[in-house]
Amino acid sequence: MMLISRLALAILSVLALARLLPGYVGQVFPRDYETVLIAYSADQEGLIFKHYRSGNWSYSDERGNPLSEDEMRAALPFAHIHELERLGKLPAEVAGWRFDPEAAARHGTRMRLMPRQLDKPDFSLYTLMESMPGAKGLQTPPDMFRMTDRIEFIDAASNRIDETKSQRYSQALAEAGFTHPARLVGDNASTQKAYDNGALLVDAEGRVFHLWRVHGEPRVMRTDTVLPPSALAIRVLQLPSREYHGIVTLPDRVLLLDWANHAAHRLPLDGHEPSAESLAVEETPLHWEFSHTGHETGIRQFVLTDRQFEPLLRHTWHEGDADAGKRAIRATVMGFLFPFRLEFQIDERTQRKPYFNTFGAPWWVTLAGIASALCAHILWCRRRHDRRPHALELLFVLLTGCFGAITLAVQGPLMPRHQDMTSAPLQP
Amino acid sequence: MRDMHATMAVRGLLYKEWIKLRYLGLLPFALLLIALGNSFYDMHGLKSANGGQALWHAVIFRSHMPFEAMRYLPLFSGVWLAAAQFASECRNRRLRLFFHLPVNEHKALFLILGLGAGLLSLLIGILCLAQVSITGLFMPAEAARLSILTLAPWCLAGFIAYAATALIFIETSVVRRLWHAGIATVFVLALIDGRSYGSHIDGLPWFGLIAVLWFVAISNVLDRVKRGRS
Repeated sequence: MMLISRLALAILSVLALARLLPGYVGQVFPRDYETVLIAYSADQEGLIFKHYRSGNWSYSDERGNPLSEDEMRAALPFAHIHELERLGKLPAEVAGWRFDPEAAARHGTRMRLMPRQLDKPDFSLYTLMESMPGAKGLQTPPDMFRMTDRIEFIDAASNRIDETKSQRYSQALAEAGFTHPARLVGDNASTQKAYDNGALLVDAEGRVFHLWRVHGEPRVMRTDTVLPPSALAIRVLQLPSREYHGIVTLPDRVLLLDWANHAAHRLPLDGHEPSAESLAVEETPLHWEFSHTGHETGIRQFVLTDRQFEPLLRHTWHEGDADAGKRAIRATVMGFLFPFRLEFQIDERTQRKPYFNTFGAPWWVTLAGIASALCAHILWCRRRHDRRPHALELLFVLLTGCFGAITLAVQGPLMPRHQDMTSAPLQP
Repeated sequence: MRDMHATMAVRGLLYKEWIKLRYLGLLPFALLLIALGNSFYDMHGLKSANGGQALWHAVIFRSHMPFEAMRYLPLFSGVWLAAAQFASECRNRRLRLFFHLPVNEHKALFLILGLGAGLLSLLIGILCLAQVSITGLFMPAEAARLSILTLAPWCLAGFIAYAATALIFIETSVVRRLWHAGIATVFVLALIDGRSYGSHIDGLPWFGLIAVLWFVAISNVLDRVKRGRS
């Protein structure tokens, strides 16, 4: 029993040290790594890189020639349309396309899909606002709905279920062939949008349904799109161009549901993992641009497609040798000092829980670090306790490295000497 | 005869705990009443001023927490109850007397800990039930459920704080006291630090296990004090 108790305290100490020490020691290393944003210049028929380091931006083209801020803006008129408009420098045409600011704004969608959007707990309460609001404009509805074995609207003023409305909408869904319970629901509660596009529902069989509230009455569209059970999220879109109804995230791909018949179009992203990488989507009247990257990987992948998502250009950006070298030194030193680290919060997740990670050091470096911790522990035992460490303590240090060695140095051995347990007199 | 002495000792321990907690143990409950009142009037005020829609919007889309005042209540209660129970017990090395009772010191320790943790559980039970009821008055069951899942890590922080405070009082070495306090701070901060609803749902079983480890760890410190090994 005492051994379990001592182990419990030792494990708690190791966890706390694994949370604290790598964080503090990691501060020693410079973190001024370069990050880059990539965009396509239709005029120059090449990529433009926006480099960010230590709070400063710099720009270059595909051949590495530095660009001034004005040159960068001129090369990317769709992304900087408002700035160019203010400066009176809007181009007459771009890559043969007569520049139309209205069309550029209509086809100027920008989206960011982050991994942390996928594990965020929600209230499972959704909004369905009036899609044809008339002169009043879009307004927050007085109720929200939940999906159980039917659709239930709950009135916010009374906090009671609106039975009449619930039955009307449940009936409409039933007539459209909706199978409860719903697997996914996507809504958009914002009233700051050009129009409302209702809510997207995925039923128990994976079929996508589109629900609107039009003049207070339900309008349901049963689509032919059936999603696999692994679908993670569905979001309803209100693009000014009205080309796509929604976006679906699966573990290994992202789909857009088109406006005409909700057919799913796969985005041509190689090796994109939505639960680990962020995805930036930028639309221009001529192209779609996608770029995805993982947190602190030093790699960004860029894909340029035509309007129908046919890939035209792919580019993988790798950070420079200097940054890669700095990362490697940091990983090696940290991997030698600490076999692992513990974090309770990481950028890719909203959920706070123990996340164990290594530093990406070569295995032999980590092993050397653990061997050093073992030697230090043996020396400490000889000098402090005048004995060899117990096999269990060696195993503990072997598994926990310097965290275990420090813990045992402060808290004392896991297996005290026998006479300590039996013959030491009780202190009065 | 020996059994009778042990029973008398247990009764004596229970009576001693009653004396220690009968007034001091009321403070967390008084603070709980204030926090619950604050939560109720926060929701009531939002609803009466701007309507139910505004309240729902604030909670669901802006992560407004009407029970924000309860974030530190279980934490404070854990520290307070443990201090009330163990400060007088451990002052001036009085804990030595503990080892001369006609009852196993570990059983006696867990009796005391059980009473304190039971009182803390009662407080947390009332807190959760009352908060569910208050949220249920203004919002659907989904919101009440997520509120409880948001309160759960704060409650676990209370149990960790209770066990860690008891352990710090029992410990005799100043260095180790600081060490235990530092370790406990790491876990407590990880639990009370979430600013959005349900931020610890996936981690609750892990943090629950960590809270159990804190209670398990106390025995060995008591044993070390008994053996006089610092």
